[in-house]
This record gives sequence, C-alpha cells and structure tokens, in this order.
Amino acid sequence: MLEARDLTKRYEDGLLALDHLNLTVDDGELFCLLGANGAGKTTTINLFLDFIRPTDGKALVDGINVEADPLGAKGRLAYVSENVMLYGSFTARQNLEFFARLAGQAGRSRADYHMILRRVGLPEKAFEQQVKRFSKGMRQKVGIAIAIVKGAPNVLLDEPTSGLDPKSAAELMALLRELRDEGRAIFMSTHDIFRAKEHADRVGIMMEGRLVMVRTRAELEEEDLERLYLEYMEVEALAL
Amino acid sequence: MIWTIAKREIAEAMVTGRVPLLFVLVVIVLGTGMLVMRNDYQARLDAYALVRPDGTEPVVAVPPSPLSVFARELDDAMGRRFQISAVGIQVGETQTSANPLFGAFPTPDWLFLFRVVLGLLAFLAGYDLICREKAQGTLKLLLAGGASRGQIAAGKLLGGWLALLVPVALAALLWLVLAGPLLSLYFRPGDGPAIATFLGLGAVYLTVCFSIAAALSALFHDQTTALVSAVLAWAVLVFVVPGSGALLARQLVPVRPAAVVESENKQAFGRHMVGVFDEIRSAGSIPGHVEMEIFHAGWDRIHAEQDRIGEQAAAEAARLTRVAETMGRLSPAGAFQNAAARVTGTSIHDELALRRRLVEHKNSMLPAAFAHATASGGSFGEFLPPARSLGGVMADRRADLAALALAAALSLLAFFTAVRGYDVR
Ligand SMILES: Nc1ncnc2c1ncn2[C@@H]1O[C@H](COP(=O)(O)OP(=O)(O)O)[C@@H](O)[C@H]1O
Ligand SMILES: [Mg+2]
Repeated sequence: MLEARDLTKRYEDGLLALDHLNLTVDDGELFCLLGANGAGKTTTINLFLDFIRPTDGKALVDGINVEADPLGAKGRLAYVSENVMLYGSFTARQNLEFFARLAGQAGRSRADYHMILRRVGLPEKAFEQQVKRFSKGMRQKVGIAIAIVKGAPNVLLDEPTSGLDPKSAAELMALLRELRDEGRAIFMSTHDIFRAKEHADRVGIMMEGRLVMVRTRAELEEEDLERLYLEYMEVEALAL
Repeated sequence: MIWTIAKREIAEAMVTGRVPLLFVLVVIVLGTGMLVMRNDYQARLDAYALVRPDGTEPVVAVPPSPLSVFARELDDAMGRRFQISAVGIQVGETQTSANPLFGAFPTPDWLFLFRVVLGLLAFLAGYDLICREKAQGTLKLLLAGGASRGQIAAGKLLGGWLALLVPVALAALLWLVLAGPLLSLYFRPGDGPAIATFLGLGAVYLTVCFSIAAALSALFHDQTTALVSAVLAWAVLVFVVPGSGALLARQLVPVRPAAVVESENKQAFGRHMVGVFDEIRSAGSIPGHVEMEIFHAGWDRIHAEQDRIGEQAAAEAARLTRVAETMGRLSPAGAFQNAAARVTGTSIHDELALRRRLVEHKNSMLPAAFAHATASGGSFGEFLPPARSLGGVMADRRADLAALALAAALSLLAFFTAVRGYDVR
C-alpha cells in the first residue's frame, strides 16, 4: 500500500512542485496519474523512492515512512523509470540477475531468469545479448522484469509506456494488470488517457502539484475522461 | 550485498577491457622500467668490479644494490670508491658525485613509475566510479534496488579497487619472477622483505590515489568535469606539492655547496701543515722520532677538523632532508617517496649513514693508511656498511606511514559522505 499524507515538495529554487498531496493506492489496485509535463508526477514518485526529501508531509510504503526508513521502504518497492537504463556491456539475463541479487533474491537458475524475460515479452534471442543495442521497448521490458523479480508488493512506474509502440504498450499494461491481480499496489504516471481509462482501477489528474481529480473505474464508465482532462487543462490555461 | 555490487563492478571492468588493458599497460611500463634500471645497475656493478678493494690498498668501495631497480635514488653515490689517505677521504674520480638531494632525475625506477605513472592510472580507474552510473542512467535503478547508499559506495569502491590492484599486483609479480631468467637481475638473499614492503607501500599509495579519485567521482555529476579534476589532483599531489616542498626547504635551510666544504677541508689541511712545519722549524734540531710525533699530532688535528667539517655538512644535509620530507609528506606521493626510498636503502639517510660509517672506518685504519703512504704494504680492515633493519626503517618512517593512512582515511570519508549526499536526478 502506498500513501501520501500532505506530501509537499518545494525545490531549492522556490518552486512548489507538489502541494499537500493526499492519496492512497491499495494493494491490488492499479492507479494511473495523468498530468501535463511539469505537473509534479515524477516529483511524487521520487519522493516515494527517497531520491528527494519532502518539504512537508510524508510518503508511506506499507506503513513505513520513507524518510525515516528509506531502506525498509525501498525493500517493498519496485521502480520502472520513464527510460530504463541498464548496464550496456551485460546481457539482459545478467542485468536481471544482478538486480535480483541486489534485492536479496539469490539462488535462482538461468532458466528462472529466462522464464521471467519470456513473461515480459522479450524476444528469446535477446536474453543472452548485451543490452547495449536494445531498443527502448526492450529495455522497458527488462525494467519490468527487474520489478517482477524483486517481488516487491508495491510498484512505481514513471511514464513507462511513453515512446513505446502500441503493441508493446498494450503488452505492458496487460502485465501490470497481472501484477495487480497478484495483489500488488501499482502506481503509474502516464500521458496515455485511453490506456488509463481502459486498465486503471482509479485515475487521478494532477495539475501544478495538486491532485485536482480522482475517478474510479465505475465513475469513468459514465464520463469521457479525455474531455474531463482537457477541461482541466483549459482551466489551467485560463489561470495562467 | 556489497560483494554483489563489487563483483558486477569487476565483471564490467573485465568485459569492457579495462582490466586487461590495465594489465598489459602495467606489464609494459614496469618491464621497461626494470630493463632500463637493470642496465643501469649492471653498469655500476661492472664499475664496482674494477674498483673492488683487495685489502692491499686503503680503499673502500660499496657495492651497488639490486634494490636500486625499485628506487635508484642515490645508489650511484653509494657505489662509489673511496680512497682513504693521509689527506682524508677522497671520492673516486672516475665516478660521478651525485647531487645528493634535488637532481630531479626522472629515472624510470619502480618508485617513479608507481608514484607518477601508476598513480595516474589509479586516478583514472576511480574518477568516474559514481558519476558513470549517473551518466549511463543506471544510478536510479541501482539506488532503488534494495542496497543502502553506504553498501553501494562500499561495493563499488571494493570492486573498482580490486580491478585496479589485482592487475597491478599480477604485473609486478610477473616481473619479479621474470627478473632473473629474462633480465639476469638477481636479488640478494635478504632482499625479499624489502621488496615486499616496497610493493606494500606501493599498494597503499595506489589505494590513496584511487580513493581520492573515487571521492571526486561522487562530488561531480559530469564525467568530463570529474576527469579534469582527477588529472588536476594527480598533478598537484605528484608534482606541485612535493616539488614546492623541496624548493621551499632549500630556501629555509641553508646548506653549503659541496665545493665550499671541499675548500674548507683543503684549507684545514694547509693550515695545520703550516703549523706542523713551523713547529718543527722552531724546535730546531730534534731527533727523528720526535719530529714524527709532531707530524702525527698534526695529522690528528687535521683529521679531527675535517671530521668536524664533514659532520657539519652532513648535519646540514640531514636537516634539509628532514624539512623537505616534512613538506613532501603533505602529499601522499611525497610520503610514499619518503618511505619507499628508505625501504630500498638508497635514500639520502642511507648515504649519510654510510658517510658516518666511512669516517669511523677511516679513523680506525688511519695508522695503516699512514704507513701505506710512507712505506708500502700494510693491511686494511674490512669495511662494514652501516647495519639496517627493516623494522627500524619503518619505525623511522612512521610519520610517512601515518600521512598515507591519514590521506586514505580522509579520502574514504569524503567518498562515503559524498555518496550519501549524491543527488540522483
Ligand atoms: N531538481 C529540480 N529543481 C527545481 N525544479 C524542479 C526540479 N525537478 C523538477 N522541477 C520542477 O518541478 C515541477 C514538477 O516536475 P516533475 O515532477 O518532473 O513533473 P512531471 O513529471 O509531472 O512532468 C516542474 O515545474 C519542474 O520544472
Ligand atoms: Mg516526469
């Protein structure tokens, strides 16, 4: 379970990037966060990962305060960035194995790693290839594999589908739903309104560091998410 | 956890070719150095064979040391021939008298190669330890991976350190094994501990260089900036600090040039001889043995004064050395230089000890030398070089060892602190 309580971040230059965010993502829930560039999505995710420290409020991972026990919180988190970067001179399997060991998951066989890579849809022949020349889509898949192998009950994804072809993006969303069905809390930021509407249990819209709207899947059945989103964007444009 | 990170670091250095390249480079560098220094040592060994005393002449010749391959320093001074005569100790003329301290000779002995070349390689091995992860984008994934920052720092440091030290150690051992069969360079039976200590000091010095570079890698976010700062730090620590230390020492400590000391010696001789002749002349006609006694008393005065002049010059040189060493110690390169040259027994301290021993020896064999000058024949006692123990040497160099340890501790502290506060974004 992921919780933000009055989570606030003001950067050194004075910019208020996140303004008293209150949000809970339950176990077995897939939450999609929409928002224009610069809305504060990455800032939110970075706060959960202890990459930055909050100015106010707190981020909790399964009840663990990230600021107080970053290592304990990180142990219960998996992270997939917008552009997964790996160790180029190692193969996909070697990268996966390294991060598995780092997560305390030693003692798996090569076949185990291959199985996970197969699950995320990486082409078989790429398993034992150096990731140096992998496309972005392939790297994202290895990134998901790393998140899976860690077996963490919470998964954070920062625009994981941006730049992916439609097929890869669809595969990735299907995987996330599987992980959700396994009971994990999944928090993902995205620009992809259609996939958010299709796959998410709840969708939020963030603007200038504030969560301005949250809708459940059921509520979205009756509403047009795209129109809602654009309306909020217009409000923002008018305010500027 | 730490070992997992270290292993990946080593594996990366292996597959990217960093470790093999480093090994080949160090083999070439140390091998070239050993070959050049072996030839240098051989030349001195040949010269020594020509002047080696046979006990029928009042001559002392100190054999060159094969350890000069590691630190030549003043070994040529020590290989010199010393003629002991009624006029004092004369340095063999065919052999060059070395500038005892500051002839900045870039002799490619292993001390120079470790201090300068391998020191640079150590800086290059560490400069991007942390900022490379940032540049290639893996830092976030690494930090999100379940290891603490301290563990990541320790693992990367350990891996990078092993990827540096193991190839260097292998290359050095390779040449120690090949020295005899390939270069006909043979060490003496008791040289083992000194060689091991020298290499140990080298390893400590390279560790210091590596950890300074690692600290820089965690202070900067950009690889180019880190590289420039690492090369700058290397230049300052290896050249600027010890160099200006030596320069400053020469300004602070007055030392009479060798020529002045020489002329003082000659003046003393002349003055006392005139005194002896005056005494004999004013004594009128005296028996031969009394005249001889006056002569002997004169010699004794000459030697006493010359020994005093020699002691004074030695004291000045020792003081200058101490000051220069103290200043050099501000840099790990200087501390390493101070300690390593002492280990091989070719430092200025060893030269000064040799001279002191030489004066003792001279005084003990003076009667025989005198007889040699007047009559012919006579037997001359064997010259025993000053005794030294490695333990004593290390105790004498504890300030340098402490300086190296302090530099290592400070740079490691800086490294871990910088990693703890490193901005991931
Ligand atoms: N390190 C930083 N220092 C100052 N401002 C920053 C920093 N990082 C991000 N910002 C600003 O904070 C705001 C939110 O950024 P971010 O969380 O990256 O947005 P998003 O991920 O939604 O595009 C933006 O205005 C951005 O310019
Ligand atoms: Mg972002």
